[in-house]
Amino acid sequence: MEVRVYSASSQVRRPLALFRSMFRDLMTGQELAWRLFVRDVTSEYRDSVLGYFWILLPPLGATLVWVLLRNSGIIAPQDLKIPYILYVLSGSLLWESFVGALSRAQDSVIRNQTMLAKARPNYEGLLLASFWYVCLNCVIRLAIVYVATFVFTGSIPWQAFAFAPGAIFTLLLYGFMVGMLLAPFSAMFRDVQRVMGMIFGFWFMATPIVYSIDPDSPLILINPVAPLLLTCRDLLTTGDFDLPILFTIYTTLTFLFFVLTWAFYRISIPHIMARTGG
Amino acid sequence: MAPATRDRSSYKLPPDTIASLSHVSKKYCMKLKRSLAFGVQDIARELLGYGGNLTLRKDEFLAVDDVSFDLKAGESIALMGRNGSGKSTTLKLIAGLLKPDAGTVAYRGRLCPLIELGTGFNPILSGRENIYINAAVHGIPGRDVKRLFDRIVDFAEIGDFIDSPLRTYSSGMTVRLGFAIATQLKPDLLIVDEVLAVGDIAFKSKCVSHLLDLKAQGTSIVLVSHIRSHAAEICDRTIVFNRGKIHCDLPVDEGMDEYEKLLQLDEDARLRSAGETEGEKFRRPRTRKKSAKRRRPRKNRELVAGNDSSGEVAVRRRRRRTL
Repeated sequence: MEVRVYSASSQVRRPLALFRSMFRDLMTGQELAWRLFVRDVTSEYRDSVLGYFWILLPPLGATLVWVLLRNSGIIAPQDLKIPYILYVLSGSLLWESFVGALSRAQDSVIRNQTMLAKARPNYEGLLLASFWYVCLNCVIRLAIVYVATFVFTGSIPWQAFAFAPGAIFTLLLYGFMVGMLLAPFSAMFRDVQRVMGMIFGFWFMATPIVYSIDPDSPLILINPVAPLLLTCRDLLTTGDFDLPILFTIYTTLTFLFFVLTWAFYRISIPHIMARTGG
Repeated sequence: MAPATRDRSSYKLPPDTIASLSHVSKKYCMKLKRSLAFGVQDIARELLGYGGNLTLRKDEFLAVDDVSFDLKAGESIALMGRNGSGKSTTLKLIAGLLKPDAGTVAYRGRLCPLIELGTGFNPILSGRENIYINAAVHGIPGRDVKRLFDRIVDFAEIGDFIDSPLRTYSSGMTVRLGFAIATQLKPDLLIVDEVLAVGDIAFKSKCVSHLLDLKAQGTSIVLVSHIRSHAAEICDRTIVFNRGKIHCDLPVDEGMDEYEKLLQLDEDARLRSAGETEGEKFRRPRTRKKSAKRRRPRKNRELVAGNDSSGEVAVRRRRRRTL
């Protein structure tokens, strides 16, 4: 029988043991993740009339607003390779997927607080369930982008099937990583969620979703979402790959920091439960 | 699972021992905002490689203070003590829900914490769906649940309601279902925190009888209960907690007698202190000038103030009232 040991010593002092147990629990948490994923998917819209349409409704509404603004001349984006409606729709759907990933990870401790305080669930199972949920929502949005691309351009580039899913995965992973980093603080201080609500507004405007931007702009350099989202949109709609260097740098950093953030999340949970769990 | 280090090399758990606590301490902070700030500080400390420490910061106190005991395979213990004496924190430390600030907790095999029944239940989903989810939360594979599904439903007495949404269940049905899931799958170590206090008499007696069955099959049980008969029936030992420390660790009946003695001592001390406070109040010198009429002592004031051993009469009176 397996022996488990909980001690006061820091887990950081034995990084190999920490990472080994993280990956082992990721494997053993698959069943819990699947059950929670099915629970979340089936219960989320069970008592809703519009059901899964709610995944699409906010970005579709936002697209409509921006198209109306453009048609009335309030905004005038330049040098678009694709119709504006497709530009905004694909950008909004990708942005919603990113925000969904971030929020889902950020709320993961609060959403499962009772479970974490009273039982002893596999943390990786909880995270995995949240990530699968984010992926499912993203797949539904992706299907809409494919259809919209075909409708507005008459074809879908092969890169949209070959490379775009990988790029979108990186975008989701980046959002999830930021969410995991915020989750412990979010569980302890309500301010974090309020501040993030404000930041999302600025972040949306700082990302070229409804307007076009020069690829050399400093806004793209300092905002990691911009090159990731632009690459995803370009691959989905035109098949272009305009920011290969920035995209590669941010992808590498995302994968590297994702593992560290995951370790941080795991280390912080018992401390949070000691402060907030009842 | 919780972030335990599965350290088979550096920590040796004796082969006949299912769980062991060695000099375990856990501190809490009384003020919420300060507690949250300390939480951030503790996370930062651990990330920098520092372990827990027992230096008490402002408003902190030791909820569990240097607790050590072993639990042999198949043995059951009752943790007893007044509210706030550290029993539930000790259970949470064993279950890995909390990280100790000092010491080491180790256990062997599959542990099932019954700190709250029905953890992870979703009211919109059916009883059937919730059984699989709750079992997964406790780390029980779906194939085992499938095998024991009918027994769980029988034990919980849910019957035809199994496919109805959980929100249509009575609170008793929900509690029965939670208990059935956790206990039908025979954990190696079962932690029960006062959950037997809920439910009707028939359910309680059914639970006790099921716990005895589990014990007979080799499951070790750590039980927190204020009901003497439950502890006496199920447990072999009683560990009495007092202000975060182990007051005594004795065979079950002796331990419970000791607990009752401790309760009586605490009650006496409380009454004595209440009496002293009352006595002090009556003997307090008055700063305001009173009229002759108001200075005239009332009957009970005479009784207390006139007695040399201050407050004793009041204590006796109060005790008579309590009795």
